[in-house]
Amino acid sequence: MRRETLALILVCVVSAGVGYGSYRLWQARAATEAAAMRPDLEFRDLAGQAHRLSEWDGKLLLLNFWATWCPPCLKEIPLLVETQQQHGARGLQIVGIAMDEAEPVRRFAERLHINYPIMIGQAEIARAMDELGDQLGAFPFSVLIAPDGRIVDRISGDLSREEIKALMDQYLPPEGTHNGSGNSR
Amino acid sequence: MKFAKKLWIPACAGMTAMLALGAFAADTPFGKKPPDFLPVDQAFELQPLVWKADGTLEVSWRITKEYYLYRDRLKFTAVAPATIGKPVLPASLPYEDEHFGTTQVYRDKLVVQLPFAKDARGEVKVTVVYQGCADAGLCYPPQTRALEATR
Repeated sequence: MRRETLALILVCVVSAGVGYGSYRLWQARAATEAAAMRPDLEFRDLAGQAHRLSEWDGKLLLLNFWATWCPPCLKEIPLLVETQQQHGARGLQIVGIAMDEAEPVRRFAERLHINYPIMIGQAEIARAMDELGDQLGAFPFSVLIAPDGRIVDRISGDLSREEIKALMDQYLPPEGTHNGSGNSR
Repeated sequence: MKFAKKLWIPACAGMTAMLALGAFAADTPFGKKPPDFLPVDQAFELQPLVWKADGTLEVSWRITKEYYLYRDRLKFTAVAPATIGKPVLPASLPYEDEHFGTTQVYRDKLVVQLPFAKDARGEVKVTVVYQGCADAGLCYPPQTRALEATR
């Protein structure tokens, strides 16, 4: 009798676990599927020229939303500069999108030796973050878009060197298999 | 048969553990959960405006652990025709940053006294601007909120 009761409890626990595990897996898959394609948003660079996200189709696109008053954003940028330098040839394109005025952005871009395109704006940047799935309205916020336009990750908060490396290892083709250019501005 | 009976319980337990682990790992490509950052109004809980008996207006925040508000990004404006005196701020804590040097911040709670007319009656409206960050590496843009009190 005692054994049977124990077995019954175990069956219940196992069923609950399987149910919960399946639910989490389903939830994660559903979220990935729901993320689907990136909207073809338009941004303006420091010279006022318009760019659409589709301009970078075929590359692994890392959009990094930042602001000059945001210390974790400024801490993260040197890592992104290094990442663009290292992985540009493997098909990575980072684009920095600053919610700020042109002058401070220009100053920080020079000071931090930013080697990737920079877009700027105000309310339209907040709307773009929202359209790309941001839920906090805070900085930094990064969105990783696969070469085919699928949003594959969204990250709130600054990325560490290890996290960037893990993303590059996961989403970039092995070295020497991509005909891309290094840096672009 | 007896052997199979003995095996089914650990097998089920193992399968459950693997499913649960897989589900957690599926959260991010690194298999690591990012910090769960709070929405700004939960990180910095702005309390209702208090109009004290001595005429002072009191604005306060409950600040979540590991989040902070910048002292020099606080702004208080009374909606006309009301006017307020110079805000009385409590002692702040130094915060080191490689780009901005030493700045002053508040943690845990912040209570600001705004000198106001002692004998005034009716309704007063105050606009508050504040900005803060999380230690884990996230900053919220400046927030503007309108508060009001009556007596």
